Amino acid sequence: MIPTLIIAVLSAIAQFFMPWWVIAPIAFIICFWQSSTAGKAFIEGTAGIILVWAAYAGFLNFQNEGGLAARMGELLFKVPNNAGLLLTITPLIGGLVGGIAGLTGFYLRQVLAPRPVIQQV
Amino acid sequence: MRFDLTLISPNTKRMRIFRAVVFGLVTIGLVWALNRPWGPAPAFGPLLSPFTGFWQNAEKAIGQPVDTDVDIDGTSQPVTVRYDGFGVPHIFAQNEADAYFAQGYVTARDRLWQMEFQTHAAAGRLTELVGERALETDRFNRRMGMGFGAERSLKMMMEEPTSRMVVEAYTAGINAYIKSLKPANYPIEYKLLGYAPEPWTPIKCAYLLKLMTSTLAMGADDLRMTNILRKYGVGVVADLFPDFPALESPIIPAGTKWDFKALPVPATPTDAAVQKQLLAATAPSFDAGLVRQDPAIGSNNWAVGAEKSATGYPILANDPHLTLSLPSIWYQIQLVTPTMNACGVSLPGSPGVIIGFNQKVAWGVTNVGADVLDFYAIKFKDATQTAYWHDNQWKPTTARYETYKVKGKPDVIDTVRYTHHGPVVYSTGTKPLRPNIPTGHAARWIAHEPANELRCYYLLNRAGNYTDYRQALTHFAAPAQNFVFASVDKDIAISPNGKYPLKWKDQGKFILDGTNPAYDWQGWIPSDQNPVVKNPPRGFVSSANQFSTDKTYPYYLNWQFAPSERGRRINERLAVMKGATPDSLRALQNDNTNLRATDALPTLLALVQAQSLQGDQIAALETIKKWSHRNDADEIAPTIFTLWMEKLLDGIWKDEFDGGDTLPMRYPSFDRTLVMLQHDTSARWFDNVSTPARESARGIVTNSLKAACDSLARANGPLSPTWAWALNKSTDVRHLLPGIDAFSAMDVLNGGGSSVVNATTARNGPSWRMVVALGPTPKAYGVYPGGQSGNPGSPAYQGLLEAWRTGQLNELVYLRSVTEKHPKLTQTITLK
Repeated sequence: MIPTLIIAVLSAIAQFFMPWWVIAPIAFIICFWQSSTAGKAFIEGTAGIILVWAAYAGFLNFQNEGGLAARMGELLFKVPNNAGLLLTITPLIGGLVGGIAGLTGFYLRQVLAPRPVIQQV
Repeated sequence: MRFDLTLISPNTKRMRIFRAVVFGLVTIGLVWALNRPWGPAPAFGPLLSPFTGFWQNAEKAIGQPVDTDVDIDGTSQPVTVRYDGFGVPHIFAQNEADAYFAQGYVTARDRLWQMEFQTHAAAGRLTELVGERALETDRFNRRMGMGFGAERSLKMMMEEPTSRMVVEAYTAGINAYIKSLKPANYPIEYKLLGYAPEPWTPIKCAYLLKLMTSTLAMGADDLRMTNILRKYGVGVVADLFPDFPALESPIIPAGTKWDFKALPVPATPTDAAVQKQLLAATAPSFDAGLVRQDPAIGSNNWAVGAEKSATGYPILANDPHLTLSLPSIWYQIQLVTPTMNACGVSLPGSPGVIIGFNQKVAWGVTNVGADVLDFYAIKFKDATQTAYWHDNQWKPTTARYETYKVKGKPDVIDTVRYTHHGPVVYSTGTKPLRPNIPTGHAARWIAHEPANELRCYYLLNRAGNYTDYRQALTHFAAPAQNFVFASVDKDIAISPNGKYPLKWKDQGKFILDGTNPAYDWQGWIPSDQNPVVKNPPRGFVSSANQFSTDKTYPYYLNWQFAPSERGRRINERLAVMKGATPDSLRALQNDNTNLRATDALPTLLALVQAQSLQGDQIAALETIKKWSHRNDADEIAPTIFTLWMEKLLDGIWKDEFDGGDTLPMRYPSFDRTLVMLQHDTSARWFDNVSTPARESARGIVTNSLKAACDSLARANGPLSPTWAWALNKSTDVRHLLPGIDAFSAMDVLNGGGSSVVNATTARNGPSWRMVVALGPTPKAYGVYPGGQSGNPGSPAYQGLLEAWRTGQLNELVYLRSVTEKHPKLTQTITLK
């Protein structure tokens, strides 16, 4: 939960100044630092970015009354009059990048400074 | 339970390193793949990101815009821009330069991608954006000398202080806007194609004006007519391709006297030996890239005098017909400074108002189809093409090197040879005159002439009366336009105006002999001897691209102009119009009467062999007979009639006048065809030379009707409302990038047609409709098929389309002062 929020806040700020792919290093670093398992790292990276991309795209789309998203859906995927399509695909693409980057962060952590393994003795 | 950090075996560690490396590579690979374009598909990462991608172009459709101050360098005083609800900027500046700066700024704000794309196209630079597939288009534009002409015009513009000030201020305004942009704010087309705007330069204004010349004055039938001359001889050409049509109503009313002493016209060369020799060598396909002017590209304009109008002042109307496109061709604007208050439409990329009005006068334009593009057969000394024969001596050519930067490929360099006529447009693949001596064809084109059209518009925007109008027109070269004029002084006038070469009769109807000076363009018609008529007795002036004058005008302009139907219909309506209001002129702009049907149907219906028709063909004939001759949207008859006429012309002429690509020819006009159907049904042309039987006029008329019905039935099923004109005409207003239906308005349902005043066809139509009622306070109305914004993500992208489709006009906001209150104003932006 906490890593997800950190990723969301940091990436939202960074993306106003930096290229879109800044989401990858941010998810990577935060998951390196914060995530406790691989599964959690993937979910936290994915969710952090989905949160931001879905919220911002959703806000812009609401203000635009869905006009451009519908045109883009037709242009890119030949699906006319469906703003929901890009509203769905957009966060998923961003989330995938965040998730994979987060997972990588966790895996690198496991090499450099492994998380304590909880073991039943 | 305990923590144990010691249990990581070397194997596990190796596995973890491997895993981290693999996922690191996957991450990098994923980002890399999303950050680059794949073929025509754009880079998805930056495109989909809500922070940088297309979402940023999703403009607010809800809520009220707020007034803002824009802090910007380049104006000497603050400029106030007031926007109305249609998105039209009303610019109030305290000096001229600031006004043009602001025009550049606000135009770029709405249309940046369009203005850059169109000037890239004109300059033959599309390969930089879309790669190799644009090379032939670019090569054609460059070989035609667009760059050569733009450079010469730029020089002339910059030598004249006023137009220099205008162009430089406009340029600075565009660049101030570009500078304020972050990539996230680029127009969406940049994001789709993956490039960035470059700084605007003055030559782009010149390119834009040359683009208009290439759109409107690149018609050339020289080669086709030459091939016909070679195949059929002088007699057939004179018979089937006469120099004046049977039905016509010229722009300058027949019988108008010419109040000038004409210059002597150059003598028609008689020694045509070399000409014949060169004709024989004419390579039939040299103009593969040269498209015939689309006859549907034309325009209407007219003005009714005070005595015909209900207001007691003249009323003026104009609707230029062009290939309809998005972002919209025109951009509405009002420019107010201490010396002007001009309002109307501009072309994005060109400063000033092109069609519009001010407090005293109104003006509009339609195209003049004068022959201002000729081809000269060139005899080169050798294969190097460095010298050519002219006036009994070898003269050197000059070389112009054209470099094409091709996206993703190495540069392509092309050498174009220039003779004193102009550039050798095509020289490859032509048959040599003698072994090792290739022939080429040089283009002599009005677009190569230095010209300063901006000066004309600068003066028109500030004109106060007829004298100012005449003075402004002397600065206009190309594309020649029928400038209609009306003033609050109750003057109306029209002038087919431009820079016309002084030609002998029919000079340029065929390819010309480039070796003989007698075939050169030999001077110009003096601009004060261009045709003009002021306050004619009939009480109105008009034009629809038809013949400029009757046969008494002492100079030769062309042997053919646009078909006469639109002009004749307009004149027939205006002649009987009394108490005209802006709405009566609006109604005439939307007139769907098909005069071609009225002209031809009595003859055709008498020739149809009705007894041989069956099924839907019989019903179709009945539909035509009952038809009101109006091309209204839901009528079925115009669908049948239009296809019938197409098949009829094919039936009569295809066997003799369609040589395909190997021998390009053309058909005689509809006007000439109709005369033959009326008076000479035994003409040899009715026989199909590719069949042993002897075909008759009656048979061709009947069979073409049958063929039209059958082909409509195949496409639409049995005769029913699916045959409606609007559905079959299917007007599209397409985005400038080919194939982007998502940014286009497809299948706009309305009436009209190519020989109809409302000249809406599948791709062309009225690109702007305007009516201006002069008076103490001018009242103006207008609409165009699209909207002020060039952004497909803006509600203003095609906000005007529905009004255009249904033939409505919006009253234009015309402000007298910066503080004037108007219910339609929505937002103020101050540039300081």
